[in-house]
Amino acid sequence: MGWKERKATRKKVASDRIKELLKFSELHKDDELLSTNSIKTAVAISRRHKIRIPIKSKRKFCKKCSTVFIPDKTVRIRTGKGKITYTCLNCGHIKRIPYLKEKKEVKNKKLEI
Amino acid sequence: MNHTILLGKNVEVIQCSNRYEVGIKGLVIEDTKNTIKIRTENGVKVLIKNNIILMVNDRKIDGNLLIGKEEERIKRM
Repeated sequence: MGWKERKATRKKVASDRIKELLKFSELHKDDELLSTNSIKTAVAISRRHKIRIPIKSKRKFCKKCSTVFIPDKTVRIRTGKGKITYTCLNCGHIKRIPYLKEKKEVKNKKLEI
Repeated sequence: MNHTILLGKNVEVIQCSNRYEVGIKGLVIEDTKNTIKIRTENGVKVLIKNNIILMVNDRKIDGNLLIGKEEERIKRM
């Protein structure tokens, strides 16, 4: 096996492992230790082997303390000024995401009508 | 490419250099470079990978083969 094949198999194994770990943490939301540790290992694998985590799954946990977001228990979600703010109730970290694309789509639909 | 996955599996200790640790059963919570954390009926126990033989998925595995963080173990095999 040349080094190119070895690299390809290593990347494939790592990306499969990341997907399994993200699913596993969704299943065991009630267990704090299991879910946080599985997200921590997923992030560590992606850092070590240079593999990106998909955007939609990045919004399901806190970047600082790796707790899974459960509305009303671990996170506070509010909207205002064109942005959604997620506040982690464990560590206090704040994340703000704009939603301009959705606003434009609604405007375009109204103009068509 | 088969590296053993420990997080979330049920595990039992078969052999150990410390005779009071033989027979511990439980669910693996955490997996670090040299240790494993197991949740048993009596609480959380920390085991050292160096001097242990484990039973995982009906297979016997030596603890010396499991040393290292998980992202390093993927490279190995």
